[in-house]
Amino acid sequence: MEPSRLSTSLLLQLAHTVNEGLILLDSAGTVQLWNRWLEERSGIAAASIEGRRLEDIFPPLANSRLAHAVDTALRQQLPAILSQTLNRRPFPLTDRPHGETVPIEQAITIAPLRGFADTPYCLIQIQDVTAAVRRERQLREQAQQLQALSNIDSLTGVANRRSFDSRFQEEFQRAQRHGGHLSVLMLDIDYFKEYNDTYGHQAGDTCLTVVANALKHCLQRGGDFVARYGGEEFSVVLPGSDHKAACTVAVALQEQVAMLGMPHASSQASSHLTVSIGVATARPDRDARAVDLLRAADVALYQAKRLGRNRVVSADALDSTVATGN
Amino acid sequence: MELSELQRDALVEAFNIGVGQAAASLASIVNEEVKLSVLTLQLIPRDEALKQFNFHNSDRICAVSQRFSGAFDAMGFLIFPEEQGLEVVRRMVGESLSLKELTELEQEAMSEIGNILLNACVGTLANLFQRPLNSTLPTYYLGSPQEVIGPQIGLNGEAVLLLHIDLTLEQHEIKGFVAFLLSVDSIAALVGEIDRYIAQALGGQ
Repeated sequence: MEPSRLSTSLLLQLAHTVNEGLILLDSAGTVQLWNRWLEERSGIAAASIEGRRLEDIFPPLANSRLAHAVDTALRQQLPAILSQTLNRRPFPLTDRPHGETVPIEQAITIAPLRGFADTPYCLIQIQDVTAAVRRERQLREQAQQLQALSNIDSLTGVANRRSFDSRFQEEFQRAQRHGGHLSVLMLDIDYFKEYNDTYGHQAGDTCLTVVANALKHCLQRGGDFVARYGGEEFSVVLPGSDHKAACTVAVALQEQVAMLGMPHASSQASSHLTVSIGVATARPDRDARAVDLLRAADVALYQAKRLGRNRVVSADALDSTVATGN
Repeated sequence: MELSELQRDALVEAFNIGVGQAAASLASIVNEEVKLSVLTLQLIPRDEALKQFNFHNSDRICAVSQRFSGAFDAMGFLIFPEEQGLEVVRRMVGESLSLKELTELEQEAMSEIGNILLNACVGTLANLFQRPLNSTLPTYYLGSPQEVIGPQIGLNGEAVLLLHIDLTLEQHEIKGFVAFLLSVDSIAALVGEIDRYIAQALGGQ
């Protein structure tokens, strides 16, 4: 198509009809065209902006990435894009899609043009990407929810086994790097099978949830976490806690569960619901393995059960119980 | 077609000024220090370049390209292994949650990063030639090196001006490439301009 066959009036109509913002700047950076799309979304009439420099109308644009890109287009003829994510709303534009005023998210293209006798011009195109931004925010939120859900035990609401495995491994490696302590408690509800048989599986589920909540509320520090390890077994990870501190936490957890005062008629350890806990601590060196720490806690838990349950056993002193309940 | 050490050093120096400006632009976007430097530079046949883009056999590369014309014709690419590409964007955008691939808006961000870098490098070349170059807008690609670079070259005897770049974002070093695919004529023109530039630099001492 021969451009000369298009009248100036037709080209102007085109500029004012397109569904995006168009700004034409001359080599001095003066606005030569400010199309209707922009008039409508900025509340600024072309008549009051044409002939002036962009920076004078929008002071925040001075020395901005946009100003720099315009300069590159005018001086070096190189085009540029300004993405929405890296450049939040360079122009103050708003829309009223549902009656309320919302800011317009912008994707901007800056292209060099050549006028009569090769005079450089610069065309700024502004696209409304608000819908895409909203869509991606939703996508991200959904992904976040999914990720959170996949790490949570659906019954008790604490971390699930999968989440425990990866977080425990992470904490272990952190302790290896920084030379700190890492303690882990393995915790079992005493005579849980009998509890289920006596009170029914629904009561068993409630029991698990109540115990999980009690454990969770007992942990004070941010990095500590409780996970459902499997069945009626829970694990608690205490990053940075030495063995003495971990044993103190274990005793507090044991007491906390006892204080719930949940009747357990078929328990041989007590008249109410109790737990057995094994405690192990490591200051892992480079060659240490996370699985060994876990095994030590497991052996301690086994010992606690063998000694009659409702107690805390320390892996450090396997033959001496740290504390016993009533 | 090989570059002499003097020619290479002169080009690395020139490009480092260019990417320094790109680093300043990126830093002003993220409000944080961004370091960017050209480590080495090679002029090699395209097949050899394709081999280097295979990185450690990581399957796909993430690339942004612009076609340049004027004083010489070239396809410019910014190239990262896929994972590093994701990391660059996520560190720039400051988004912690990683979806498997870049979203549409993240691809735009990657295109902008590529645009800033390629413009800076080509600005350097334009200064060498003392003539402006025209360019298309950047395009984002994800695929095997063959898929991304392959279709862009059809001519025989093309070579690649390959810049190994080092990008430091939030103390994380990320290595990538800026590559210019050049025709035989363009290579000859480029080498001529480098020699002129060196002669000028030496004469100007």
